[in-house]
Amino acid sequence: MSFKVLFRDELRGLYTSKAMLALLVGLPVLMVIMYLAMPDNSGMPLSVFTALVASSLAGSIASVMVAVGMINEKNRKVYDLFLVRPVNGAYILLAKFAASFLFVILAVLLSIGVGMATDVYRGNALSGESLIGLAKSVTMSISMIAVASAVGVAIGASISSILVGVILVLYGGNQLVGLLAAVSLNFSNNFALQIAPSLAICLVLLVVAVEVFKRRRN
Amino acid sequence: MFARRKLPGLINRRPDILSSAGARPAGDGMEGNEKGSMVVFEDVGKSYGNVKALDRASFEIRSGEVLGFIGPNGAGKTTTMKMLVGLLNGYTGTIRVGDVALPAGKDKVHRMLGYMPQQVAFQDWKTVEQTLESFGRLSGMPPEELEGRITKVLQQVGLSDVRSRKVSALSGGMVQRLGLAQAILHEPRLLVMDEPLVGLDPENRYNVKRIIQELNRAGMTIFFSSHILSDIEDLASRICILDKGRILWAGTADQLKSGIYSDGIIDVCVSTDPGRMGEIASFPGVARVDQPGLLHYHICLAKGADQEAVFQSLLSGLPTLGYRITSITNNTPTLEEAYMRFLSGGAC
Repeated sequence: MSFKVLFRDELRGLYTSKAMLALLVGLPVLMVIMYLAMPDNSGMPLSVFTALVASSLAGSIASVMVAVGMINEKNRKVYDLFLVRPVNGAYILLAKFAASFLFVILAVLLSIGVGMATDVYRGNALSGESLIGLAKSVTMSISMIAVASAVGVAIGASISSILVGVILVLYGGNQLVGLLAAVSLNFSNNFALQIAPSLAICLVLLVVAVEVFKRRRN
Repeated sequence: MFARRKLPGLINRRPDILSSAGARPAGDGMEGNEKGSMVVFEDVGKSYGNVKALDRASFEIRSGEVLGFIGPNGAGKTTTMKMLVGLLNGYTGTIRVGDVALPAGKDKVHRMLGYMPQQVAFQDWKTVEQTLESFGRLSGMPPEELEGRITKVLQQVGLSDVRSRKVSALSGGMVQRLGLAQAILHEPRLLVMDEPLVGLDPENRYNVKRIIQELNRAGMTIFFSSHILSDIEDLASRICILDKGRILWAGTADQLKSGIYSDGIIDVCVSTDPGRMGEIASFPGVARVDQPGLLHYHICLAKGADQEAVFQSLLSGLPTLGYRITSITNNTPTLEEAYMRFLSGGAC
């Protein structure tokens, strides 16, 4: 019950946030602009280009947003009023993670949708195996976005300085996501193994975040 | 139901003051009452590294009372309150709310507890109504009751006309009142407030004090801290003094004042000060001279002294020492004066 309330609250917060609105509208537009500005796209469809670029960009934005939002609320002691109610502290973090993850996926899917529509319009539509490849690549991207969001939550729960938090997210978080992407490439013939490391790391980060959040009250 | 419970002796630095009220120090929390205890702290300790934030503190909050918590900055008031509401763990000793021991029964306690922290902060993007709706639902209030209750609480704290306004657009005083609204929304049996009147203008302070009194009349047990001792005196049925993590005293304001100034005081204001007050202390019937202000003195009477005789001797004796008296009255000290005297370790 409390998770549902917290999750709905977070969704409402993101829905009304200007940054998230900018992401939902701006990301598809940015992808089109970047694609058109590329000197040589070697015939790569916009949808494929978007799947490659948007997920990494959106993941970084999501983790920075989550971390900064959490550090700010934590420093202002906003969570105290939640924690003096019969609420599991872990739900506060999980609701933040789930809501930002969902919104970023929405932004990425919207961008890919715009890319696919543009491809169709330009007579460069994907078909058959290319579509399956795109779907796999999108799923991979989603698992990376999950890791990026979890990095944001873990840093948000552990760090008190916004500047340090942003630096850690941008350097540590991005390095981790890059490393996971490289590891996943080793399992390119087994899709389940490809996303397993990301999901495992995501889970570990969330457990660490919950534990740190709990210990901060000692 | 809350068990009636008697505590072991409070840590008391000042037996000299308290002994004047009887064989057992007055207001030491040992007398209990018919309603029993709402909160019991027994030998509770909390350290941050080598710093003892709370040192084997024992006190009780009786069911239905308003307990005012006073002490200097850094005394451990906020730490105590945070432990009571479950925001701080890792302490020694026992804290019980009703029959429920913390931290094991935290969820049960949270259902009957309201808390207003010193720094009230909300998620800025929510409206006043959304804020209360979330807290109401998280407190387990049935959705069908919630809207009516929100309307009532907003009326109570005077925020009805900003119901749809975003929290980010509220003034500091409004945020403070919203803090009170969220604390009482689910009609808790115990209300814990850390400096609830800080930052409020006189009108809002008056209104919040009125609300606190109404809530207490309706049966709510209230535990609050404040540095404004006149507010404590107005609201609290008992007070508890904390310093350097130790509970020094608990009892009524009158007990503190009579303990400090057990045999009465004469309040003297003068327009010139020749610096000879030491000589007045040797007047017959005078025990001590306190100076609460620059040209303001409290002449504390010795045990059994004839107040009228001392009054007359001051009236005639002070001018001969070079003092020009602007006022002289038989007086009752304020809580602030008694508290300051208590902390400085003096006694009549």
